[in-house]
Amino acid sequence: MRTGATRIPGLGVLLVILFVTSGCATRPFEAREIDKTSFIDRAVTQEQGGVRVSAAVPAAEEVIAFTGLDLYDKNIQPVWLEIKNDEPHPVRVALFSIDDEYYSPMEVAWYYRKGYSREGKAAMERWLYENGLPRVVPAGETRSGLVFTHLAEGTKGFNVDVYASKESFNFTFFVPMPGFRPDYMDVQFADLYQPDDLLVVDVEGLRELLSDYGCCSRDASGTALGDPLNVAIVAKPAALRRALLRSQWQETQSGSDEATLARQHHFDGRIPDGTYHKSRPDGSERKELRIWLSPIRLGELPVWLAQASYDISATNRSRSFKDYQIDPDVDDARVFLLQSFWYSQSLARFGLSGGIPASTIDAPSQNFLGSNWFTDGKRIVMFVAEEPVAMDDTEILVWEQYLD
Amino acid sequence: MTSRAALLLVLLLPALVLAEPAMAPRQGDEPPPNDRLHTKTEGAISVTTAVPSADETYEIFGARLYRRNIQPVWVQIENLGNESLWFLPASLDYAYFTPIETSYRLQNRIPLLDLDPDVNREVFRRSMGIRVQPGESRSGYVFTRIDQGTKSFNVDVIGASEHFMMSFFVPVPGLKLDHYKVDWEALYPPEDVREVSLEELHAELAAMPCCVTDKKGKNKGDPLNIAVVGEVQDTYYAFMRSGWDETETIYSGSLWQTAKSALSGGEYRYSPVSALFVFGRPQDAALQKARTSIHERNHLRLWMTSLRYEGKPVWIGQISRDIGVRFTKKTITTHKIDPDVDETREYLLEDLAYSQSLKAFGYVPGVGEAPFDEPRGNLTGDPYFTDGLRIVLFLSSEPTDISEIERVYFGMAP
Repeated sequence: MRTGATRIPGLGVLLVILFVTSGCATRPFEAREIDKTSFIDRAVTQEQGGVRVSAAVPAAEEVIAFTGLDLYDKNIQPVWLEIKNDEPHPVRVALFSIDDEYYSPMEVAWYYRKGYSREGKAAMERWLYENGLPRVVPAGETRSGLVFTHLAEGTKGFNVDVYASKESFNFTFFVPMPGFRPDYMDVQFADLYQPDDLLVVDVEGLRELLSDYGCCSRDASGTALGDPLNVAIVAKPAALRRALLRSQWQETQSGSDEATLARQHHFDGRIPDGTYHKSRPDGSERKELRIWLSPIRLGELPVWLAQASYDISATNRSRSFKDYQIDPDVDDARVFLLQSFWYSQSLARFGLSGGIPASTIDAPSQNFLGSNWFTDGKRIVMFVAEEPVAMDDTEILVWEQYLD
Repeated sequence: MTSRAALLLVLLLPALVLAEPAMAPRQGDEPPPNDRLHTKTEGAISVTTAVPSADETYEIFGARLYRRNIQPVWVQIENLGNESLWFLPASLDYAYFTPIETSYRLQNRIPLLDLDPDVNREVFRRSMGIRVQPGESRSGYVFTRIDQGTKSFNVDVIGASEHFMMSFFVPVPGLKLDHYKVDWEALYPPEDVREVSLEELHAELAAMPCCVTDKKGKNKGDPLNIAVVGEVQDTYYAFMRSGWDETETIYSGSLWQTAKSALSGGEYRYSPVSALFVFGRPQDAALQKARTSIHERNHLRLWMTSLRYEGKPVWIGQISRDIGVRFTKKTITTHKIDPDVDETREYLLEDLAYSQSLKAFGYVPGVGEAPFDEPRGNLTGDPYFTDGLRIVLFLSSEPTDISEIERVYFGMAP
């Protein structure tokens, strides 16, 4: 470059002008102290033994306000944690438990290296390094800092494992995000059914009822066939939400374009009470889950009807739903949901009921949007656990003798 | 033929070819055309798996599935008990592909083109079902993301009162790896191999070289910030279980004689790594771990030492995290490592802990401190800073929960 500039004086001048006028390469780095920023007021605290963990998640604008970096833009969501150790020995926090592909502080610094002056870049690197969460908390002390995780839409759910020699403390957090209103917040659940509407059953009654109840969603007019309601979930609302978040299903923003397709489907004359989605880790193809509260009650417990579907086209979701390519093998999506609850230890028991008209790959059913689907005609009935259940403790209901 | 018709023909060609595969149609219950079946039996169930190579997959499906990042795994479950069983495909790969998604991917995602029902039917027919009834034997393919070298996966099969969780390590031809041929016994003459106590282990590891060197041993490179205690097989499986991949090494005239890269599908995960030197020889094992959402990797190299602790080999090694944004093979200079090498070291501790492969850990000196403001440089000029410690990872051959891991102080006060 130096020789080039000597030979062509104009180029050097041009570069200087570009450098100065762009201005960005001389930007200093200005960050605020985390303790003085307001998002920490929203911290959620949990305690186990002598370990107390507080967690807060800054929103996109708050991150910009205290770091000057638009981390959300690069899919990075910092989680602030404070760990107080009243155990008689040092404890360690496993960053891996929060996000097994967390970004290291210096990795974040590398992403944002451009545009700063030399001093600005050094200051940014130092700030990120010094504000990363330390892994070791000595006995009687408190440490706090940021963990740089992958961005999740909506409520941020994560685990925090703290461990010492032959001992561990395991926390699960769900931190609501300001500015995000999940679609189910728009529903007045208490008004959906009157006491006279309720169908109260026991477990056996549930199996019988589901074998001939609400096979499928319909279009807005209530006439044309939609997709099969091939999932029934028995759970208190909070337990259902916890199970979904724990297995990495993401909430949908109220009124968002993303649920355009989901909102074509109706049950009991209404669009889904809630929609969740879960993308492939290596692509944008994604599973979608549409959930309705049904009038069925297992004793006091609500029973939800749901349909899982899989968009395999990885299209831009703001476009028309006509661009979607839905996997017609709806049984696979049903099994995917089952496994996601099972592996995340949320499944107390499950069984298979009937209730859906069977079809085959050669003679599939077609929904009102023109998408084909085929199924063995079974519906999975999942009972969500209030507390984590080890996989081999999940009870399998042997209901198959009742199926055709 | 009009140009539009010609275009249409070109677009449709892959689907037409696929609609009539040259091969006679196979049943899902027929194993892939290789002799690499692996069978495990537990109680009343027997699970057999096989992983077809890229070429074998083409032979079976008439399509280059590997190029779409899809690796079919053939699974057969024989249920000799009296309980209805559930097979969980997510145990092989939690982001497995559905049969129709597989079909969609191999039809090149041509917009406007409807899915070919014949291809769908064919792939669906060969896929593995999730129920296996008493007395039944069921088989078929599960479509997973690609692993080269050795594919490690679990197969979980659950019944109302019994559960079976089995781990498989299945070699996949295609990647030229010959560490299977390394004669670990011959690395050191028997008289050089020494069993050490925990205190001696501390002293010996602390006295080992701080860093890797170049071939001539003149220039110092990345810090040797990890030590591993474990049998060859346990060490290998522990890293496989945590999602580390084998890798080819570029060098000549050494134990790990590598052939030319034979990467099917050009998977970036398996691009070869350079040789670094300790004890006058290049690494005995090089592994890398890709991160799913970003094209960055962690690199790890291990050298077996002449030490044995409780009869198990002691290894010394180096780990680094790539943080550079996408780079090409030609512009290797843009490849940048995380200067905070201690952070990467702690990542490995947690990585092995969460795959339940870690029994105990502790720290020894030996790297030499390099503060944040006075970093050292590696062989390619990347700066790094460190507290100067080397982590010692004691591997477990039995699954060990995070609440069971012991912190080792080598006979010193905590």
